[in-house]
Amino acid sequence: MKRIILSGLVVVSLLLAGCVSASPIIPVPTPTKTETTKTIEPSAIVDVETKMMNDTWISPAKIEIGNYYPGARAEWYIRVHNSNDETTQIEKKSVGTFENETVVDISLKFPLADNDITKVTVASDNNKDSLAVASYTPFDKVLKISGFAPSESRIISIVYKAWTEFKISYRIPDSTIKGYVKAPSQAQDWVIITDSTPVFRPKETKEILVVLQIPEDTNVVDKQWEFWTSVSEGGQGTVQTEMCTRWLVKMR
Amino acid sequence: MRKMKKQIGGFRYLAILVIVIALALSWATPAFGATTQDVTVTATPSYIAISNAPNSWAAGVITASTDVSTGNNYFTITNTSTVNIDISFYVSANWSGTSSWTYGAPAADTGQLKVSSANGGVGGSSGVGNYDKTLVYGAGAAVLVCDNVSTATSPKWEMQLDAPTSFTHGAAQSANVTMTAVLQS
Repeated sequence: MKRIILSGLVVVSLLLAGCVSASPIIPVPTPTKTETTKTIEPSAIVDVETKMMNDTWISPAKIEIGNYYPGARAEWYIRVHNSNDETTQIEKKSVGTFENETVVDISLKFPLADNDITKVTVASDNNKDSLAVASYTPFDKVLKISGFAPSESRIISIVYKAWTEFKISYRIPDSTIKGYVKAPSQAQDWVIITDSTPVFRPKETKEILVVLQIPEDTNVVDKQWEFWTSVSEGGQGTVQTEMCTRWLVKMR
Repeated sequence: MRKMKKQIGGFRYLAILVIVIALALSWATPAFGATTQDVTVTATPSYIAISNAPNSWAAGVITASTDVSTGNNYFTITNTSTVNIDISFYVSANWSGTSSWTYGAPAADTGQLKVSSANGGVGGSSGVGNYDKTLVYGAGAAVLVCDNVSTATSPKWEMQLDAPTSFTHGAAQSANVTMTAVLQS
């Protein structure tokens, strides 16, 4: 009896050990569970960012994703700082109204500060108008103005306080770090920027979540590839600046 | 007494069996764990910060087949980045007007922009006033103008318009130029 039990134990032991060494377990992608490792020292950040309060900046300059595989999710926050103060904007528009039309939507070039319509004044060169700001839609920066005289034309002047809007987007790299190639053409569809047109208060810093999620059944040929995210300020002149973060992806 | 011995013997084998299974499973655990700990995302604190002034240039009234420039060191890039950077340029908005030129080497209603910098570094511009970097329309094809700019350096640069060889209209033209700062490669 003892021999039978001992033999059984040896067989079970060998079978279980064999499961591990002879036939390796292939990792199954787990799209919703990704472990991240952060190596940022908070105290160092505070010192640098205090000194750079009056500069517009982005951070970090480089993000590395390791052992990535289709179906997994990798994410990081890009920090963006706005150095601008609140500005006063003046826009002039030519507006014509149809019969019975008294309310007109006007698109602003810059986001209205604090979405506060009391920070807007409107005037018309047509004395039949009696203009007032009815509402503001932050999503598309549209001001609804009432009090227009129907079937008339005029030039209106809009004066308002504005904040700063940034544009954050996926970017094809101009250059790559040694050992990496440019991202596959379809990579743009794999990168999700949670807020691509954030509006900033004066001197405000925001964190924008960027997610890399490649569909599980995708075949990615290159093992090490790079893409960029670009941050640029809205409403610049004809010579504009953008700042980019390098994303270096190593496939499993 | 013999029955009790038999029971103890049975428990002993059961205990050994449990230990063997536990050991076998403990060997297997790292392989299972690989499914959730493989993907890593790392970044170290680093900042890219540039601004440019002035933010526009008006070439004024131009004549065919001429090169009009800003003059040397017309623009200054204030660089307060905490890492060395590369600065590249591209045309981000093509010629526009009531009638538009085509962007490219000078031809009829076709003109282009060139830039240069005293801070070209190894792979960038060859020097101030050389206008050796011809800008291309579209991101992803930007031209490296200032290579490996150190954290203490704020580069200066200048721009030139290569005017069309002839005009079919006199509509004012405007184009946007974007400079890109990124961690040095």
